[in-house]
Amino acid sequence: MSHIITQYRIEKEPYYRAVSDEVAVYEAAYAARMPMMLKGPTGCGKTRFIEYMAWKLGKPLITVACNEDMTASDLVGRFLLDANGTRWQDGPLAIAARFGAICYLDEVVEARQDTTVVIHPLTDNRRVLPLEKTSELVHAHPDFQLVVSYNPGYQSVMKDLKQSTKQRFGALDFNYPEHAIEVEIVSHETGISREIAGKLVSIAKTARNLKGHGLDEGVSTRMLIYAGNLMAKNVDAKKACSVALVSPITDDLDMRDALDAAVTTFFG
Amino acid sequence: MKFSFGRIARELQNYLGRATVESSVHLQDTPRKTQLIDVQRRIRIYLHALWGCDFIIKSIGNDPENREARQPFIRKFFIHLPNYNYDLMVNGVTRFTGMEAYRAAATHAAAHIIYSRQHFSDKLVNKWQRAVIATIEDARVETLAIRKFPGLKQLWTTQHIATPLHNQTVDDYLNRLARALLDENYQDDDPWINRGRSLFMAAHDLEADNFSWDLGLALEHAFQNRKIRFDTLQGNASAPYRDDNRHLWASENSDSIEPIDIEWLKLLSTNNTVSGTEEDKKRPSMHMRIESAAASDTYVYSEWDYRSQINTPSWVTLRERSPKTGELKIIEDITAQNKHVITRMKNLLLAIQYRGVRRIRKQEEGDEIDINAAVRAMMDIRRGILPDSRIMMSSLRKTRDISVLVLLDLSGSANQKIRGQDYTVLQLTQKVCVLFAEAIEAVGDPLAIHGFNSRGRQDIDYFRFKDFDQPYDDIPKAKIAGMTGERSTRLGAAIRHATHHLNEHKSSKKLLMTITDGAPADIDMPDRHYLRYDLKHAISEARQSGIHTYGIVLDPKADEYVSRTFGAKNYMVVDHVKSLPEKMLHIYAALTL
Repeated sequence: MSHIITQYRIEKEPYYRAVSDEVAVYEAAYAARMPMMLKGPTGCGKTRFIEYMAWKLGKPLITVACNEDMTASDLVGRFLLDANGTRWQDGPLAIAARFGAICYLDEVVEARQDTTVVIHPLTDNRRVLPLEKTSELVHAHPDFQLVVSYNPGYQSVMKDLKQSTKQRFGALDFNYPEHAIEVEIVSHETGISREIAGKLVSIAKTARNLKGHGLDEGVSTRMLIYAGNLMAKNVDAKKACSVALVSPITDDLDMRDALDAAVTTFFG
Repeated sequence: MKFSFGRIARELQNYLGRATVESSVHLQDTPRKTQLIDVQRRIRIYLHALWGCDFIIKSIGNDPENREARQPFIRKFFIHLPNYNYDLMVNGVTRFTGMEAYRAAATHAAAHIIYSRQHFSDKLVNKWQRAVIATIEDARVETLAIRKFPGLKQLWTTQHIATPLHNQTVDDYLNRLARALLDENYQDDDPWINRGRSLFMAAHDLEADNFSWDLGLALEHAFQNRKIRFDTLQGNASAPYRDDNRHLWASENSDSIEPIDIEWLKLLSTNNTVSGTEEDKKRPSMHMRIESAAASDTYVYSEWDYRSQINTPSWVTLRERSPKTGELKIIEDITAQNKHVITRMKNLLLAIQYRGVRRIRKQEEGDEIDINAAVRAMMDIRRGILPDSRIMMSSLRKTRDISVLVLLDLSGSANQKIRGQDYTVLQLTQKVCVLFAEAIEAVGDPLAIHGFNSRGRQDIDYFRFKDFDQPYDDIPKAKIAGMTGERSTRLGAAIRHATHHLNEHKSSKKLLMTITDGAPADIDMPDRHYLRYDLKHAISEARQSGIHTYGIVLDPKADEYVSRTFGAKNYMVVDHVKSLPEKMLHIYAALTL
C-alpha cells in the first residue's frame, strides 16, 4: 500500500454497540461491494458504525464531509501549480478508487446534484471513474466501496437525491437505540453510572417527542455523551444538560424553558 | 382615538412620586404576577415533551360562567387555567413562583387526562363522598405520574400548604389528606389521615378499575364520627394547582360513560401541533375544527402610531375569508386581448440573466487553474517578485429562486374609472394580475395573489386568490374573476399579514408587490397621515424580514406620498397595461443585483 493510503487506516477498535444485525448485513454487502447508504438522524451512530466496519474489515476509510459548495473537482481532483508547472492532484474519491479504500460521503444530500452524479460510474457494474481532465479512466481497486450517509429529516424540495442516485445503493436504517442499549452506550462512553445515564436517556426521549413540534431534531446520542462527559467531570447535572442538551438545539425561549423543566423533572 | 399614552404616563408618575416609606414597602411586597398568555406556549411545549401528545390550554376567563374563578378545570380534554398566578410568599421567602404554579396545574391536569380513564356516576354518592373519591383519584394519578417523572413530586409537594393546625372544616381534612398521600415527610397524627395513608400505601394496583371509588368510599365511611358539619364543604381544591375534578363525574359529560380514549388524544396531537417549524404550519390543524373555523383564521397585528412613536400592540384584527368566484370568461378575454404583452413579459423575464454559469477569478482555491493568472505568476517568480497566489477560478451556477406575492387593494375606490380611460381601477387590477400571473407562471417562479379591504381596525378582510403551492389553474382564475371592490384601505395591516405569509415560504429572494389605487385610509381614522406612516412602518418591517417591497400605483397623481412610503426607487405608476413590461423590468432589475 502506498504512503497516501496508510494514514486512512484505523488502528484502534472503535466502540460500537450493535443494535440488531447491521454488522452481518454490512459484511455481506461489502463482500459484494454493494454501495451502501446509512440513513438516520444526526448523532445516532452512522459514522461510528462505518469506522467500526472499516476497522473490522481491515480496510482504510476516507471520509468526505459534503456541503453545498462542493464541486465535482473536490471529489475527483484538480490541477495544481508547483515549481515545475502543473500537477494533477487526486481528490478523495479518486484516491479511494485507486488504492482500494472505503469512501464515506457524509451528509451526501448537502452536495449539489450535479456534484453527486460523479459517483454514478463507480456505483454500477463498471466501477470506473473517468478523469476527463487527464483523459484517464481509473478502474476501481477490488477493495473499493462507496458508502454515503443521509439524514432524511433534512429533505426539502430543493435538496434531495435523485432517484437515479438513490437506487444505486442498499440502505441501512439507523435510529436512536432503544432505552436499555442507549443507556449502555452512554454509560460506556462517559463512565457515568447506568442510573444517571438512564435519566439522560429519559430526558432525550422528551426532547425527541418535540421533533416536528417546534424542534427540527431531537436530542442525539452524541449530545447525551457530551452531557455525560461533563457530569463525569463533576459538573452539576442540570448545568451539564443545559450546556449539552438544551442550549445547542434551540434559541426559542419557550422551548428552552420547557426543556429545562423537563430536565428538572428527572434531575429535580 | 381615545388611547392616550400621555394620560397613563402621568398616572404612573403620580404613583411613583407618592413613594413614601409605606408605599415603597408595599411595592416590594407585591408579589410577582405571571400571566397565562406569556407562558402558555412554553407550558404546551413542556407537556408535549413529557407525554408525547398535545394538550390544549385555555384561559378560565373565557368561560362566562367563571369569570373570577381561579381554580383550574378540565372540560372535554381542554385544560383551563387561570389568567394569572402570583408567586406565593411566606415570611418574605418565595415558596413557589407563579410559573411553577402553572406548571404544577398543567401537569396535574395532564396526568388526569392520561390516567383518569373512568367516569364515576355522581348519582350514587353525596357531595362529601365525591370529594373524598376525588382526593384519592388526585393522589392516584399523581403517584402514577411521579413513577414516570420523579421530579414532579418536588414540584407538587411545595405547593401544598395544609398543616395539622387546619382542623375546622371538612375541606381542611381533605387538604391534609391530600398532602399526606403525596408527601411521606409530612407529619400528621390524626388517625383518619393516617388510615388514609396506610390504605393508599397498601394498595397494590393503582391502575385497577374503581380504585379511587372503592378506597374513597371506605375512607369516607371512617370519617362519620367527627363533630364537623359536612355542609361546610366548599369544594375547594386541596392545593391551588389542583383542578376541581368535574371531569370525573358522569353528569358533567353529556356523552355516555365511556373511557377517555388516549388514542384519540394522540390523533389530536398529530394534527394539532405546537406552532414552530415550517412543516407544522402546513399541517391542517384539528384544533381549528374543534373551535369555530372563523376564530382560527383571525389574526391580530399591532399598528404604528406616529404621534406617540410606538407600536400599539394587538390593535387591528384581520380575518381571512374565501373569495367569491366569478366567470372564467373574464380571464380568458384578458389573456386573449393581451397576448403580445404577455409574450413580451415572458421573454423579458427569461432574458434577465438569472440562469447559467458565472466565472469567479482570483481565488486561492477553486476548480480550475486560470491560465492567464498562472502565467503571470510564473513570470513574477522568474523576475524574483512575490507572485499573487490567487491563480484559481471557479464556476458558480446561479439558480433562480424568487417568489412573488401580489397584494391587491380591493377597496370601494376600485370601482371608479381610471382618469382618462373607460375601464375601472378594479378591471385594471384584474388585468395586471392576470398578466403577471401568466408571465411568472411560464417562468416557473412561485407566485401568490392575495387581496384585502377594511372597515375600521377591527374588521379587515384578507382574501387569498392563489397561494404559492397552488397551480395557476381554473380555481384561482375564477377567484380573480370574481373579485369586487368595497369598503376601505387599511394597507399597513394587510402588508403585515402578507409579510407573515412570505415569511412562511422558503426562497432566497422574496418580492411583495402591492397594487393600490390610492393612499391608505379607513373610516375610523380621520387623520390622513396616521395610516400613511403606518404603511411606511409596515414596509420597513417587511424589509427587515428580507422581503423586497414594491408598489404599483394606479393613481397618476400618486407620486408624492408613494415615494415617501414605498421609497423613491420602489414604486411605479401604471395607468395602462401596455407600459407594464418595461416597468416590470425595473422591479426585477433590483432583485438581480
